[in-house]
Amino acid sequence: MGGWQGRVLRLDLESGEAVEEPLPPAVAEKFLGGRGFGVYWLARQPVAAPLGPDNLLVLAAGPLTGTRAPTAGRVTAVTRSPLTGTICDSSAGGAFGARLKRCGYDALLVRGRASEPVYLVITPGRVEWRQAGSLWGQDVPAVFRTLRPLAGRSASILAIGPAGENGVLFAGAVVDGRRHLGRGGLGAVMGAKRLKAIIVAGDRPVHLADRHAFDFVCYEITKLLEANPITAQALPLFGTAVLVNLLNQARSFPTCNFRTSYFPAAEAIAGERLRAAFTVGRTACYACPIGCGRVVSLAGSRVAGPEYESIWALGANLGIADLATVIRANLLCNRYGLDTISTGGTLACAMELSARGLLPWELRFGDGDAVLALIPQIARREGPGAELADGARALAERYGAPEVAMQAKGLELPAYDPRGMQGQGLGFATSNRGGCHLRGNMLGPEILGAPKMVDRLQAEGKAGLLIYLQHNHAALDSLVLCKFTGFALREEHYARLLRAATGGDWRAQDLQRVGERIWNLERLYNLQAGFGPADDRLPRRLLEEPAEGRPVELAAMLREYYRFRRWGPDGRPAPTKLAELELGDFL
Amino acid sequence: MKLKVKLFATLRQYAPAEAREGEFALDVPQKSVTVEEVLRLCGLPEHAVTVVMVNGMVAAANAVIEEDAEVSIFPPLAGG
Repeated sequence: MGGWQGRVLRLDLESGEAVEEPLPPAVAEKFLGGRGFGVYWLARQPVAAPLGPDNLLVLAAGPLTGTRAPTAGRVTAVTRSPLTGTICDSSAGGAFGARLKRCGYDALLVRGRASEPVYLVITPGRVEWRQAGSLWGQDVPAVFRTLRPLAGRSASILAIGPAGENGVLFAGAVVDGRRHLGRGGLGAVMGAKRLKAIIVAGDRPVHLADRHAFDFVCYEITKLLEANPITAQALPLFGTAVLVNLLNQARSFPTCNFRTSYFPAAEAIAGERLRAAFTVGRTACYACPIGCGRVVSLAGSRVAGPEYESIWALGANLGIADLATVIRANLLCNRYGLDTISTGGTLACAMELSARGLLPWELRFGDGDAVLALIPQIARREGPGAELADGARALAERYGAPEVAMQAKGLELPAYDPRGMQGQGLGFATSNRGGCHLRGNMLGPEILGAPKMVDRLQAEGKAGLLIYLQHNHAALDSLVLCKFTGFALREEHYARLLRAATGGDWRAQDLQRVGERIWNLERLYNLQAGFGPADDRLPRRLLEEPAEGRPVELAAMLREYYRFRRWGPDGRPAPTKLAELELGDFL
Repeated sequence: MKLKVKLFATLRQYAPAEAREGEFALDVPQKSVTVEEVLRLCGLPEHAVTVVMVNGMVAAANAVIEEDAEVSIFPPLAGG
């Protein structure tokens, strides 16, 4: 069996045991890797309290990880989210996945809670448990300054900051100092386990079934990525921030906690402005020919620049039009290990509560200085930050106005206003990890015209397209490759990579089938965790106020969505559907 | 008639010198004009444009543009 290493490593932080297990070939073929592996192992055990010792944290690579396939260094983390209570996966660039794979493992399965803070050093055939007492409390740059010389240049490091240690429910984890497992609070899960960092350093080869064919496909798809105007020009030149003006012009750019969907000052925080006034370089992840990461100059220092989502969350959604302030806010989130989208979404919620006179302290839209002061307080759970550290939903409920929290299943919504993108709204409502665009991004068909342009204000006919994209994204998250490759490549390209790597007879439709299996198993997990059809919803504002678009016609789209998925009125997949997907064991 | 044209990202290299942040007024000699004709009047290569919005709504190449409309023109781009 090529591609996979065929082994996983179970780590028990309570007992200090590290046990190698074989990866069953049937699991590899049915779930691929990454997100698929994570949901498989989460669903095999009882639903656990997210911050308790029994919650499993899975860090998984895919069958292409660690090879020369473009973007094949990524890792996916899967756990039960403390922010949402749903299953949650998060994917990050960097080289952690590649180094994990080169240690000889397809996945790490971490359970338990260490008696004292620890960090792990994993090399082929060996796990070292090291005390992390002196690292505990250090911010992200300090942790990497300490660990990088110990780890060596060829190692990859995953670490949390103070936000994760302090149980901020939207704390993330940082890979190689600059890429982020952002959403859903898995940094808080690591903090609850007293696991400060993991270093992986390996150089074992990844066996390929047909190296000659694999090299040829890699050559071909690299050429496609280098020729495509999105992956070869737009993303390298402007980074993801190039979307600011596009979404704003489409009146789908949420502003001031989604009170409007057009930000008059968008040009001041747009990708064009970022490039002209701040950008001094760019960064790329392992084996990535795109290089969308930004290096910007701020007060004479070269620092990481913000992504589109972060510019929106810490800019337009807070009414802030000063890009230097947004860059500083983004750096603070990175420094403390906070998800920028949820940080911004929670601050925006607080700003609206304050504007309505419901918050006992003042926080005005547009007050950048207050935002810069609050972010460290959130990470430390100090002062007003303690109220913000549980996310927008908890904050709004605390002050008796739950409708002010712009979230779905507890996850703060990202930078697309569904009143201008009806299908994206259905995507937010049905996402298995809560309000998120990366489960099945309708940006392509509703705004970019890829693979074809559909009427973004129409609700009818969106369910089928969304379901296709949900399966496509689940497969990419399991391969584990960057979704940006999808702007230049088709599923057939990924299938060809898989054929050459594994020797199996993979076709494009097989990836759709794996994606559908993963989606339905995630759904089963969430049902088991107490979620149901009533949770497939959006904030009232999006259903009643048009902003610059139309209220989301969610009920009609959901009916179509359930029917296409063969889910009953109770939100459960039909037994025949589960049998068809070979998920009968999980009933 | 007059139109307000906004060019974005790599297309700003085609904006006239007096344009600010890719935005300029376009004088159109005839009384009606299509998206396709606007692209030609702006000197934009056809292959360089993927999305055109007229007053915030995506418009096809043969869509007719009214006086005083705001025309936003984008090259291939993505992100997320």
